[in-house]
Amino acid sequence: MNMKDHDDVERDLKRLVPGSVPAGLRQRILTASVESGKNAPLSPRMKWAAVTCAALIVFVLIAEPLIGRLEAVRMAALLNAGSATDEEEMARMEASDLAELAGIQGTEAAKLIRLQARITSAVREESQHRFGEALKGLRGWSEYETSENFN
Amino acid sequence: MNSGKIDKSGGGKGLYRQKEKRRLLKLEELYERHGESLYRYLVFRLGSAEDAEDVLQETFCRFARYGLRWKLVLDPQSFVFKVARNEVNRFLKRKLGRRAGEAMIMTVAAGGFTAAFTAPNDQTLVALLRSADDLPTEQKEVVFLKVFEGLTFKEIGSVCGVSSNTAASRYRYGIEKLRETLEGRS
Repeated sequence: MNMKDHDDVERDLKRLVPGSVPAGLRQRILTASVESGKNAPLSPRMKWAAVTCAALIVFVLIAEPLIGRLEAVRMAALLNAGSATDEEEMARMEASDLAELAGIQGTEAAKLIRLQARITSAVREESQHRFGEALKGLRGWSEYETSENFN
Repeated sequence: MNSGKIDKSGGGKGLYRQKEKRRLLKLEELYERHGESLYRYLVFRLGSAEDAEDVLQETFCRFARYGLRWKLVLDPQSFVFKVARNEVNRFLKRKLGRRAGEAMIMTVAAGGFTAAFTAPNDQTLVALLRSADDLPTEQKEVVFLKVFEGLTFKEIGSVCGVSSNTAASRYRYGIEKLRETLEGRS
């Protein structure tokens, strides 16, 4: 009996004749693919890059005003620690109590209240001025200071 | 008279033409290397020369659109077969609808060895061709890729989405069945 092994089967399979390739196929394929390549607006890699950039731009556009607003609120809170009107109101009330205790009435009492309010306002302005000066002094410190070397 | 200005439009066109020429050369090279093997594989998968032509065209269009850097592709041969295989699956799903397409992908019902090959006047080869077509789908594909395209088991595994061991065992089972058929005849 004729025994065949795997190599014989492979050899026999290779004797099968493949179907012919249609004439002009090469030209048709190449023409179509070159046209397709011309019409492709972006390669998939570029598409991903474009989408990522667009998402980043949108994120920055949304986040920037929000961050700005938060920063403004923080700065306002820093500069007006305790609002001016509250402090002046407190000063007025204290002055009117003082006037009552001292038995001062009428225009004299009104004068005392105004004076007290003015003093409070002057003190607040002075502290703001000092704070501003301190900020000016600190500006750029990181550019000129070198970090300490403990070694 | 030379105005001293650079003709930007002409330069741009020249650059564009150069780019086009380069692209065409790359595609030509790709076709020379893999075009006909891919065509045979597609006829084997689809069973129709017309469909195979359409899918081959779509495969090459995909290569052109993607503007691939072929230097970065580790194994171009298995890569092109994998792209063609995916394109066949897309084509069948598009043509037959999702369910029927998937069923066709699983069975390779339309294609097979008889669609892609003919047996010369030899009864043994006719029988071999017939029994090769009777092999299970997964074995058929592995036998085709190994015997006719010369892919390694690792490459076949990469194309078919299985391990190289699975590809090797599918090949062994397939060839063993064919051997039994041939021995039965002789």
